Order: sequence, then C-alpha cells, then structure tokens
Amino acid sequence: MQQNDNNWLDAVRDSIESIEEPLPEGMWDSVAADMAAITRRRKAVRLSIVGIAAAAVLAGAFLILPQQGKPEAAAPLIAQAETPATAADQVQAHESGHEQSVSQTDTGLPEMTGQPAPAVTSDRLAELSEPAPAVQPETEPEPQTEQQTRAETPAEKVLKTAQERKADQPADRQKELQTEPQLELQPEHIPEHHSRSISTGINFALGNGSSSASAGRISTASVPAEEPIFATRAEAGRQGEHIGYHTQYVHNMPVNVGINLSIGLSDILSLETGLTYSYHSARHFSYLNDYVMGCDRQEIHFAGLPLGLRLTAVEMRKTSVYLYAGVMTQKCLYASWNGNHLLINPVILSSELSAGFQYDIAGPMSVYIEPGLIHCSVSGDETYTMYNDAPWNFNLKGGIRFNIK
Amino acid sequence: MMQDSSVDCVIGVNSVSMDERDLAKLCLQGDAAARKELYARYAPSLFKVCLRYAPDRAAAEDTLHDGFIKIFDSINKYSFKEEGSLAAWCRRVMVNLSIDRLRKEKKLQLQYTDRPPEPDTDGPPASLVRRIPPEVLQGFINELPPGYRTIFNLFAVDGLPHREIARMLGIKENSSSSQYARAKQILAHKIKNWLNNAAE
Repeated sequence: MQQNDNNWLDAVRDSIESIEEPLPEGMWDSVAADMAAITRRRKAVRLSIVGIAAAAVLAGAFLILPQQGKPEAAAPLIAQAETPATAADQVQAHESGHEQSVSQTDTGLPEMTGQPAPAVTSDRLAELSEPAPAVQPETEPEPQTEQQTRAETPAEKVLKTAQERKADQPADRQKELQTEPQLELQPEHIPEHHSRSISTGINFALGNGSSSASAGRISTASVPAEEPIFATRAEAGRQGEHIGYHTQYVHNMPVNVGINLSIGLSDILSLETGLTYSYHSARHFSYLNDYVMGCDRQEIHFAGLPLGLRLTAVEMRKTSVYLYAGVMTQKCLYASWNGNHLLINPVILSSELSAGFQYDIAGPMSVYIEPGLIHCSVSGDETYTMYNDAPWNFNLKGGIRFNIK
Repeated sequence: MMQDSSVDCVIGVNSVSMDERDLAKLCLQGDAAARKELYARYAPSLFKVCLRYAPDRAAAEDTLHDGFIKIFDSINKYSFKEEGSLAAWCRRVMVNLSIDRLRKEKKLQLQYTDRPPEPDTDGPPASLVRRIPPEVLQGFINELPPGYRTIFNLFAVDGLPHREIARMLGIKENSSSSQYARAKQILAHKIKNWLNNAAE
C-alpha cells in the first residue's frame, strides 16, 4: 500500500513537472539590469566605506596624543581620612606648637622615619612643627633684586632652608640624603578633599618628615585663615609646582571586550547593541624636581552599553569586513588606587567610528575585532582618565557577536 | 565560497561542456555570459516552482525575478558537491523566496489543526494517473485549500522533509504530516472521480 501510495504520487509529480511554462518576456533583461545596478551601488558603497575608514585611520594617526596627564593633576579621592581643623585652627595650633620640635639628628635635621605619614590633624600639625631658622646676615645685604623685593613665600623659605642645610652637610651625608628611600604614601593617610594642602605638603617631602611638615605648616599659614587652604586640586598642584613638585599620569590604552547583538536591517546594514567591559589602567608618578616621590597605580573597570550601525563592505562565506559608527555609555563598576577602593563614580559618554573584521564561528555567532577612533567625555571632576586630556583616541575592541536576521 | 582547491582559470562559457562547478565559479566572478547561461538553463523549471506557490502568474513572475537576483547575489554561499547540486540549490532558493512572500502577504492560510487524518485509503493506480493530462492534475492541486496545497507541494513535489516544512512555516511537525495526509486524500479523491468519469 505504501509502495502504491508512493507510485501514484511519483506519477503526479512527474506529470506536473513535464508541463512547459513559457518564460515571461524580457525577464532576463530585467534581471541583468537590476544586477548591474546593484553591482554599481555596492561598488560605490564599498569605495565610500574604504575612503571613510582610510580617513578615520589617518585622522586617528594625527590626533593620537601622548598618553600622559598634566603635571598639575593631583591624587584622586580615596578612603576618607580624619578631617583636620580649619585653616585658622591649624595656624593657631602651629603657633602654639612653635616651640616644640621633633627629634633632631646630630646634623640638625629631623630624622626621616620612613614610616607612612599619618593623617594630619591639628595635634599632629603641632607635633610636626619646627621653628623657622633665623637668618642673621653677617655682611651688608646685597641690593634686593626684583624677585627678592617681594616677600618670600613660605614654601620658598622651606626649600631654601632645606637646601642650605643640605649643602652644609658632609659629602657622605649628602649622598645619604640623595639615596633616601622614596616616601611611599599609604592611601589611607592621604587626607580628605579639603585638607589637600596638608597632603600636598607631605607629598613633596625632601626625605625629611619635619621639612615636609613644615612645608605643610607654612603653606597653611600663607593663606588667610578664613579661606580654605586650596580650593582645587589644580591650585594645590600649582603651589606644588612653585617649589618643584609635579605629578604625571601615564595611561595605558583601554581594552574593551563585549558581547554584541546585531539585528539585520538589510543585506548590508545592521543595528547593533550589546554589553561591553573596558579596563582602564594608569600609573601616577609624583616628582619633586627630578626626584621621584611615588608611583601609584589606578585601575578603573567600566561596563558599557553601545548602540550603533554596522555597514558591511566585503562579505565572504565566513568572514566580512565592515564599518561601524555608534555611541556608548560606560558606567564605572569598580575603581582602585594601589589596590584600594577608589571612591569615584564616573560615566563615560563616547562616540565611535571604526572598521572591523568578523569571522563566523557557527550559526549566528561570530567573533570580531574592531580598531577605530573614539571620542570620549568623562563626567565627574574626581576621575582622571586618559580621556580628560585626550578625548580623541584609538580604541581596540574585540568580542562575540550574535547575528539576528 | 567555492569548495575547490585547484587554481582554475575558466575563460568564456561553453553551454555544452560547462558543468555546474565552472558555471557557478564564473557567476561568482560576475561573468555576464555565465549568468545568462545559468538563467537559460534553470529558469523554466524554476518558474514552475514559483507558479506552484504563487497565488497568480504575476506574483510568480515577481518571485522568479527576485529569486534570480538573490541567486546571483548569494552565489558565494553555494558550495559544489556533485552535478545537479546547483540546480537543487537554485530550486531551494526559489521555494524559500516563494514561501517568504506568501508569509509577508499573509496568503499562506495554513489550516492549523492537529486533527488526525481519516484512515488512509488506497490511492489511484499509478498507471492510470499517468494517463491524466498534466494540466488536469495541476488543476486538481491548485484546487486544494492554500495551506494543504503549499504543504503538498513542499513535501510531494519539492521533496522537503516534514521537519524542514514545519520550521519553514512555523508549525509543528505533526501538523505538517497531518495536513499533507489530508491533502493527499483530497487529491486522490479528485483523481478517482476523474478516472471514474473518464471511464464512463
């Protein structure tokens, strides 16, 4: 029965397959004309894509800036430290503690303990205070230059005093001072935002705890008591620069990976979204003149939500080359400073133009790599990334894409 | 991408000796003569495929036109296996395009039923079926309800398995089987009636 069933169905199929149907007139001419138009259009699109990609690459090559931050960028916010007293109280504490002094070595210089500088309070300020040396000129003073006519700043006094003292030391002691271990600041001892002047003072210590304290003390005294010591980090940096202190960020190229979802709009155009992860790392160096005071490591992890359009330029069986343009919002997941949690919450808004290469793994899944040009703006004054100084950058992305057609 | 490890240089088109491998390779390169040869070779049978699924001749012509554009545009996705595979691949492109068009125009009209078919009866003898004019048989098939006709053509004429039909139409495999059985019964009934009338 089954055989008979198949037989009569085969007979039906053979019969209807034998029917001759005339082809529509002009069908081939219409097909050929449309194919020629499609070929011309795709050629124009591909040339445009190649031109745009080449322009983007050339523009990126010229626009890439050195990945180093401005010298005046200071250390960011980290764990809260003990809140010091106001400037007025600090000055008063200094005055009352004027006669106190830290232990001094035979050379007359306080010893550098090498211990991490503690959080600075008014009591601590008093402990670290040092009597300002009195300068007694033995000869008639020289006519004052323009620079000397203005009052020396406290910082200049400290530097000058420290330099004079250093010059008075025996040669071996001078050498010893030169090779003092760097002052490594523990993050928890860097004071809070509004006591930045104190922390700046500690930062540029000349291997001498007392000197650093005095510098902090003096810089405090140089500011009217009713005003904050330093209004901004930039100002703290500038004050630091005045006595040879500066900092520098060295950023590594961010690495971005993610899982993308691509929704086909046409044969060559797709809408893309997904989830990305990017890793930003940087080293923060602090210097006093040519002396490296410290090296810190900043790491920030971001999660991003991209949205963009992808235009396929060349498509082969398993590979394709394409152009991508889109925007992305990145939110900070976690940030650290020398391994300690960094209390910042930046958001990066970016726009991007890139060329990519994709390889189909299986089914709708493929892997891709995408070098391109990206413009980023970072929110939040507390965060310092490579984009703060160089919003235009090269970016390298890679990931897995799921294609839905 | 063509599955061919040899480095061939095919120049020109010879319709007598051109096999499907070379024909496809030339079409991939954009050779106009090769494309015309492919059209001339397969367009008649592919037009019949379009006529089977389209609601009318004008729709079938549109499907044929768009189908060849798709064939030439995606010839890079074809991989030669044996002689005849290019014809089968082109046929599959036309079938898929015809079904897609029916779905977009909402003319599929599938009979969504899992009702088990009536007990199968014997079909007409194959020898008698061959005596029926092909146009009459085509007419019997066209008279089937649209959903039954589509599934019958896909399974019995174009040879797609029920699992593939179910995926293509978005129905269950059991539904495809039952609707095909129902279509077969209706067609067998029509053929028997015609044969009885012809005998009288």
